[in-house]
Amino acid sequence: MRYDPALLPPALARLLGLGCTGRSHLARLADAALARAGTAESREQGALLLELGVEFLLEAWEADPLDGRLAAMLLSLAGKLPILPRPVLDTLRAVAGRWREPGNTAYLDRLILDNDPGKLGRYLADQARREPNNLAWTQRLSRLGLEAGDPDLVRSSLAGLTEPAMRGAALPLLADAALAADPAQAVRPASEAAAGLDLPGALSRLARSMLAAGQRDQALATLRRSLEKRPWRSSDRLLLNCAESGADQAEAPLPGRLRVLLAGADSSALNATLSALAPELPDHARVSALALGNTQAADMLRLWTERLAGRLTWEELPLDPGRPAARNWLLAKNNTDADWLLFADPGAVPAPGWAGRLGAALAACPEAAAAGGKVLAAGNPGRVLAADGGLLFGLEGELGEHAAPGGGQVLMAPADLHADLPDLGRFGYTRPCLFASGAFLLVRADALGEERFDLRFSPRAHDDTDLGLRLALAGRPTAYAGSLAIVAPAAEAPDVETANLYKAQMKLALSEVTRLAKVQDELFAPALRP
Amino acid sequence: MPPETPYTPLGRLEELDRLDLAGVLAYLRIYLGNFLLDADVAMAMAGRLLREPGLERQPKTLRTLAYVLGKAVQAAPFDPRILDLAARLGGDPGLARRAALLTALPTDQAAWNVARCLGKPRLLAGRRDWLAGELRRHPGHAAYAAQLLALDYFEGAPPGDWLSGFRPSEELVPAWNRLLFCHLAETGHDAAALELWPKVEAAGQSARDEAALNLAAELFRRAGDSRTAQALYACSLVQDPLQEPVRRRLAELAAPFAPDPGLPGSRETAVCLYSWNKAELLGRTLKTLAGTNLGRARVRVLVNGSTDDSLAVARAAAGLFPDRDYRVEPLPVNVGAPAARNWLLSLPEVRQAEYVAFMDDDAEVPDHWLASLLTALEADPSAAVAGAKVVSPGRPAMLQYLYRTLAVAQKGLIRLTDPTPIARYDTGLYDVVRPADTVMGCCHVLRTAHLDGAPGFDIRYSPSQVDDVAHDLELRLAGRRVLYCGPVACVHHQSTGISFGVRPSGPALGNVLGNDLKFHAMFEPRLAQLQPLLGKEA
Repeated sequence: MRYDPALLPPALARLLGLGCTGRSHLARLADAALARAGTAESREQGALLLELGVEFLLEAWEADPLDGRLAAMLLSLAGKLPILPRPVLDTLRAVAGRWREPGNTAYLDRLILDNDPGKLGRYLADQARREPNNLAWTQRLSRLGLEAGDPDLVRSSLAGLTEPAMRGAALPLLADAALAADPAQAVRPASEAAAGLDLPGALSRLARSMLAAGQRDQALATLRRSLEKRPWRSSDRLLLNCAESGADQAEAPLPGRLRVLLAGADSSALNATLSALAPELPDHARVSALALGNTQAADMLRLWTERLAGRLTWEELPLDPGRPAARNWLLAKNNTDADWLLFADPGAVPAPGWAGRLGAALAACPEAAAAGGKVLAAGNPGRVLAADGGLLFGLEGELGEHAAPGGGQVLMAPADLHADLPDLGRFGYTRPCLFASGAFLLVRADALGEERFDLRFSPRAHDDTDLGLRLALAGRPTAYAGSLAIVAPAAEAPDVETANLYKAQMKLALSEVTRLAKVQDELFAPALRP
Repeated sequence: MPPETPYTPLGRLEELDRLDLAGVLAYLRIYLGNFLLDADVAMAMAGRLLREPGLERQPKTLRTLAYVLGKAVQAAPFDPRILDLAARLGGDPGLARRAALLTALPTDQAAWNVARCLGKPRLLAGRRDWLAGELRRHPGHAAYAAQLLALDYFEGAPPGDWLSGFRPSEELVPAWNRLLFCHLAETGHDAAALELWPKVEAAGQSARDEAALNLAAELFRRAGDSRTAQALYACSLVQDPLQEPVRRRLAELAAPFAPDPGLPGSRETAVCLYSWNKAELLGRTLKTLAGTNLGRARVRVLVNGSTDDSLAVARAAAGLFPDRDYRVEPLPVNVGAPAARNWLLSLPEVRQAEYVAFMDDDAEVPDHWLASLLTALEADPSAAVAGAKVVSPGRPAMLQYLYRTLAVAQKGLIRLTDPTPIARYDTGLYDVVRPADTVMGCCHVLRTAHLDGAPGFDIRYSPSQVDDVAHDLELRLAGRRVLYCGPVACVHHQSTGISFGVRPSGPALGNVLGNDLKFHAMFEPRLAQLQPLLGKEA
């Protein structure tokens, strides 16, 4: 089969430009490909879409290989399309045959809502022992281990899967668990997985394990092999382009004068952020801070005023007005002497080398108005909170699954490639995008101009998305530096996230969403080019 | 994971469809505890009851249906669709005859779209011209005349020139006179209404229904005849004992609320305002505020990072408050309404006061406002908040926001009642002091002792809307009471949220529904505590 990006329908190309990773996103890609396969404009396009559809669906299963429902769906497809190799079919049959939806999940649902991994793990392990022939429990238990970065839990949950067909399902999970927990030890399990079933993500996983283990040349070669075999793998292409150019290791000084803007109520969180920033603050940099309704926070800033030898100025507010208002406050008082403004959340801790990484990302994308990195959850750094900000578009009703509280069609939603799998080195590239996380965001002062953070996104959710989109509409993208990891506290409660996302969606007119789609297409096109 | 019962957005029809019959009846009971039923609510309710399976076997539900339809007929007496439905269900030959007369007149469907034109002046003018033209062609067409009268109503105007060409059939004259009387009495054209009243009275029971009696009562009260007013209200209550607002108003007329003008001088009070880019309105608000009985209250004005002349206006207003502790708190940026309120509450001198009054920057209050709100609070030590009756500017003044009580509290659906009857003018009916679950934050007084330990105004609702409602509800959950003080009419020049006639769209609607979603998520985990509040203050 010949792969030519020109054969991709626009909606599929747009989705693929975001990347080809994440269970939900892969399923979405599969839907987009298979839905158009029947009405393809040519036999060539039809064949490509069918193959891509099966590939994406298979990789969605590969990301969660004990998912019996997805296995059954693939088997049903395979009945009509003899595309899948026999060993893969054997494993799919084995998984589908041993998986049943648990009857009453009310207690399980409550445990999930309680967000107590220990209690949930004990319950799942107990259920798996009670029903050893139902993979649904093992599936959940292994996923829990993967998401918590606990390879021992993954290994123990899979210990019973010894027969050859089931082994094919277990190997990718074991490799992912190793990569999530201890990258230096991940190459061997990734090699074993790659030597097992011929699955779409196997070489990619191996290459990312090699990169994480410092085996750079082997990683590049493996990425090239992956792309030779599957040239549509946009996420691999992003990693390869970046690694080949050295952008993933590049550092450059931050151009111009810098002012750090920081506001918080928690003294230890303020201390953590300032401690991470201080060693790399350029001489010309200044820090402006707010202590928000907490005397201990004020004491901490007083301490840091001394440590930073007068480069930190701060004031105390009687309360926390929310992130957008606090940042606007800092801007109103400190926006005259800097070329770059670095907004940091209290508790956001960038990895060493942060200044050089951001500088390099800006050097690679000089038109960018902002720059940010990959944000990982404090307490579970395997969990990605934000990466390169892109949008899913619902211009033709494709976002049916994102119900609007007020009814009506949802025109856009932030892409969620990072949301349902651990980091696994999937977002280590650098590229321009639409927005980045506000937990640690560098913004060009002259591009910000009179723009301010919008209060409707209080206390703090999607104010960063909104700002990035406004800058993008003004023709200024955000440079994403996947080589810079920032550990930050998780964002707001889900209900505030959802409500503020809806506010962001409703803020944009159809014409603006259409323009953003074009901007994104141009920014993400390199991911599709062989 | 999706919730078991998904959140339901705004919309009365969706709300009613989510309730079972007991829930619908409870909803109606709570509504009736607050306001007189208007045509929109009555028809929504009727529609829901008509969809109830097995309705014909449920006498009590059928009686409720007849009741709400009766109210709809009173509110829209020339709508043949409503009359026909009510006549068929109630078997009233008079109604059936009127429905037949109206149905016999060919009526263009476009005639019923008046409400859709509200807030759109050009469309409204076009609809008026079209209706007037139709009435000229058909001088006896009562439905067209009623629609023209409805257009005049929305402008608060007396009947237009079209009236001189209207020739209702003899049978329709009593009903028409009644409608005309209601129009004149509610829009404040008192002399004309008083002149017409004897004709309405003479027509007997069918015209002299409780809706007309209630308007006549306030008409006589405004004319200084409280005795007749009380007699008319009493008569109205006999006709319909379910009219809780009438019961409260009758009690009020019998023992009128008397504000203690000395309270502002004897209580520690801080009057707080916050403003963002409304210099002119702020100036007007401060000017009227300065002319009211503030006693020894101190005044604090937080200028929320305005880019217009607000700061200069606020500072210059110091001259309006001689010998008073008046101070302006300038902030470099707009922090939003809830944070601004919290900021003001954090000021030591505000925190130390016994009472804190919050007033919007675009509100006008009468001289006795503070005395009245303090009097209401002092009379009820469990009350933490007292709020004013909020009306729109202009004469007649349209009711904008009165009070709300909890209407529904179940999984996926937490709703407060409407803040006001829809598109009704202020006749005086709601000039009572009564408990509620929330009042409007545009002019309210808080008892500071009851704020200790309670959450502040929640910044999740920034920049505005819902924060005052949520705050009141938190106080209710903490066992405090919230009072509505109708004798204080606060004229509010701007309105937020979804207002009658002007439905927001795009970003504004996003903000309203986004905040509604947050409100729901905030209170749903406390359904068990909310449910005992249902119907308690209605």
